[in-house]
Amino acid sequence: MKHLFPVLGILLFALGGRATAADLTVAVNSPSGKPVAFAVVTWTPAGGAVIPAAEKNRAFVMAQKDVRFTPYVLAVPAGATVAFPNLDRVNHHVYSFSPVQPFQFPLYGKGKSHTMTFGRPGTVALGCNIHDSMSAYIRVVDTPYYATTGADGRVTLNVPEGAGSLAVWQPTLEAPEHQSVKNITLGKMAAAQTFSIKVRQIAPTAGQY
Amino acid sequence: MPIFKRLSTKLAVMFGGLFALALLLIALASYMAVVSYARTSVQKELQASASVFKRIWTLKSDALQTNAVLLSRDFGFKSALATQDALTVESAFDNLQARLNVEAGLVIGSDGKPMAGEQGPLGQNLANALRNKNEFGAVNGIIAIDSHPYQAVAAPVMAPDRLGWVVFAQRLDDNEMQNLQGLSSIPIKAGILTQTRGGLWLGPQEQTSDYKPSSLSFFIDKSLQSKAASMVSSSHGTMIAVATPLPNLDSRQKSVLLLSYPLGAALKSYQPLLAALLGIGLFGLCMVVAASLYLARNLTRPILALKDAAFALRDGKPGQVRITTHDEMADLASAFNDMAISIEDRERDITRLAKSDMATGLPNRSAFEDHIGALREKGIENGVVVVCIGIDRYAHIRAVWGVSYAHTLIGRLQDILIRIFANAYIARLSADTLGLCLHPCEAEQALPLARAIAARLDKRIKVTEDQSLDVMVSLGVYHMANARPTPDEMIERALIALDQARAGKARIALFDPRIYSELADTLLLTDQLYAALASKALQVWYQPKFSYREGRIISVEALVRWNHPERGYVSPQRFVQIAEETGAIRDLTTQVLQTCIADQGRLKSAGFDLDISINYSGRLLSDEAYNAQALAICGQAVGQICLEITETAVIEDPKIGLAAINTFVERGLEISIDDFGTGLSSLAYLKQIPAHELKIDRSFIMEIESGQRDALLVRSAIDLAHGLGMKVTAEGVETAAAFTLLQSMGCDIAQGYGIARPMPFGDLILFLNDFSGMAETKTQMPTYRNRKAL
Repeated sequence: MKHLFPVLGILLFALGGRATAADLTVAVNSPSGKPVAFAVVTWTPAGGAVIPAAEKNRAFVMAQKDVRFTPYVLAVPAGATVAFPNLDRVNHHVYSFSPVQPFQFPLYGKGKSHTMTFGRPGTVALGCNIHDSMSAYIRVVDTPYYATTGADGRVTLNVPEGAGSLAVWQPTLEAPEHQSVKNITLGKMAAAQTFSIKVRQIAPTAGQY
Repeated sequence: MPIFKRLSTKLAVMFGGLFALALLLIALASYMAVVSYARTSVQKELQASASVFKRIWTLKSDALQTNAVLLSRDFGFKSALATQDALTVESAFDNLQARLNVEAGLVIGSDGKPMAGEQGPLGQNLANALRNKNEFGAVNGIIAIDSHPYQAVAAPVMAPDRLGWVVFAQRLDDNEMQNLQGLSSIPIKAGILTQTRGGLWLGPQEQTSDYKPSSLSFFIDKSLQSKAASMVSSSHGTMIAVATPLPNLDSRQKSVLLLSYPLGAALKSYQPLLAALLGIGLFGLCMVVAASLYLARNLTRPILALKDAAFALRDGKPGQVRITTHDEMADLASAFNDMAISIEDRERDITRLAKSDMATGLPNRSAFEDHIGALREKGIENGVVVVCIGIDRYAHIRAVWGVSYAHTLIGRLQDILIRIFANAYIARLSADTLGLCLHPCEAEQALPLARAIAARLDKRIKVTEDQSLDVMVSLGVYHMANARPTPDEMIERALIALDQARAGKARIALFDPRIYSELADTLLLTDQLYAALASKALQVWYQPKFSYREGRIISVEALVRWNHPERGYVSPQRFVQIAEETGAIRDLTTQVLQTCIADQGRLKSAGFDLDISINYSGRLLSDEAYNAQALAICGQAVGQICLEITETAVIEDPKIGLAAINTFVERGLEISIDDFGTGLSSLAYLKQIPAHELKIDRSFIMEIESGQRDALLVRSAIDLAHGLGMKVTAEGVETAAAFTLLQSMGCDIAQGYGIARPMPFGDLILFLNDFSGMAETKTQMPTYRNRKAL
């Protein structure tokens, strides 16, 4: 959420005169009502949206610290470049076999970093070849209107009025592409949207692999 | 228990039965305990084996799993799988499979389809089983293809999302099972069965062919619920078996491990024990039966001895029990012996009393009979003689000299007889009669023997030291050789002979069967007379009496006749005498009276007014009650009734006789003195009897023509009767000369064959009719004789 405000500010600044904007609040809950974290909420207007260059050029970081990826889920707009700094004292071998963008950074030590630009939207599953317990996801989105839920499972998007599709993606969401989509039309005062999604309770990081 | 006739059998069966029952129960309990123990131990073994099997499988699957996981984590393998590099994946997998020597295995891609390795039904089934698995860790379990079980392990390939599965499967065939079976301490049979969709549990043919599928399935369901071993029947006998659930790869499938062990094998080690139990039981049973038989025999032997003794005692034989023990039975036997002795003593006393004459100590008649009976038993072909010696005037001797003197006399006579006949048996038959039985004795010797006895006893006999007595004896002799009268009859015949001797004043008489049969015949005749009286078979005939003065029949004498169907006409003298002796004379007289009164009425109706004379027995005259009865009957007569009474009857008891006659006369009956001149006559009584008629006995009339003295007597009697106011009837008038003579003597009435014979009532009417036509012949003897009724 803390990343949201500067984004929003930039957005408001950039689109201020063009269209009337509305605040869309989205709550993501499990069927039992618990808030779901690490859910990427995106709004894609019907006519599509251009991702501003400023947005693309923002600094996105997927750090390795304490033999974990931080954050667990990182949402980036297509064309953004993500840095993978190693903040641990041990080496890491970051890789991804995801068809969207397979890559690997063979063993590199503390203080070193690699960057990777993700041009195609999709999900990139990250792993470390020498630490099976490490895993993380980079969600590459094709819209400037996106946010990731925190522990409260809520996000607020400032989006233009009109028709579009509202989507929620979560790595363990039990649905095709781990995604749930709603097509809606937003008025000036958009009603709050709620997603009820089924996610695996077991935290993937808790597993061995 | 009425089925046992012998006490010993009963005891043996009861004891033996009880012991056998107890033994049976113990054997049953032992068997149950053994079976239960065997089952429990087998169950424990089975459960332990199940644990062992599971543990082994875990180890095996862990080993497989470790290798599968290693492959699944290999970066290069992951890379190849992620990049859909099928050739690399397959080569890597084949490499590992060859290294591990695993039977079957496959790699499943991210699309859930087999990518490398086993592609057949096993691969499809494994892929299907894993498709729905979301596990991030390795899984293992049983999977069955057509009921053939496989042990399978599957490791997911995570990068970090799951890219696919590495799967290894090992077939659990019979060989594998036998390897497992070898691990158990007992030869357990193991099998893995899976449940079909229909609920039936099926396994490989070689493991389940012994069972019926339905009963096996039922057993497995039950065993899974109870978690305990129990019995199930198979083609190899009853098995102890337990089914434990196994983990399954596919959660929709269920499989079990069935461990079984034959019950027979479990019990085998206990068979010697059971056999020993059975042997001990049978031996014990035999011992108990033998012991109870011995005990019962011992117990019943004295009882049987007592029974035999009691039976002997009952039959009059000496019954003593030999006492061999010192228990209660001995007391009983001792008491029984005492009782038997006292019974024997008492019996001896009774016999002695019954068989001897108390006063003289001589054997009595009963003993005499026994002696003769004993002789008969031995055989009397040589002849036996029984002599009854009657002491004349014994009552007189006893009255004069006293009873004890008389008894002494008897004793003296016995002494004398014993001295003559050493081998004779002498008994006192009655107070004055001694019996002597001698054997052998020829028939010709019987009379000389009796004479010898008489000669020896008929003399002065010294009874006491200072007194002698003249003894007279009469002897009845009965000799018998081959006939078989009873001893009682023999004595009776000798006694009859004694009576005959006394009656005949013969001193000695042989038994005379002729006289004996007359006596017997008299007895028979008496019976027949009673029967004739009862059936009114006696007839009354009438003999007319002719009156000289009136020249006609004025009266008839009633005479009783008995025409016996077999004997013909029985002599009136004989049966009237019997009637007088037996008392039947009352009924006889009553019948005659009644018949006469009825006939008199009929005669009167026919125009004949006749008097009827009826003989009235002297015996009846002293019977006042009967006299009254006779008067009552005569009171009904339409004409005159005359009772003919003999003078003797009156003289025997003049007081009562005269009183009765007076009563008759007062009541209008006439009295006739019958048979005058033959019996006792007393002029004193003749004077006192108020008779109307005197009948001169026929013996005088028969001689009247030839004997001067008889004629004189008759004439005097007629005069005497007339003098006393009586009319005179002459009996036995048979000739015309006598008829005329009597008329000349002044006789009033004639009766006899010359007038008419006695005739039945029917003939009497005819006779009277004919005779009345001849009324003019008053002075002549009527000539109508032998007229019979037509």
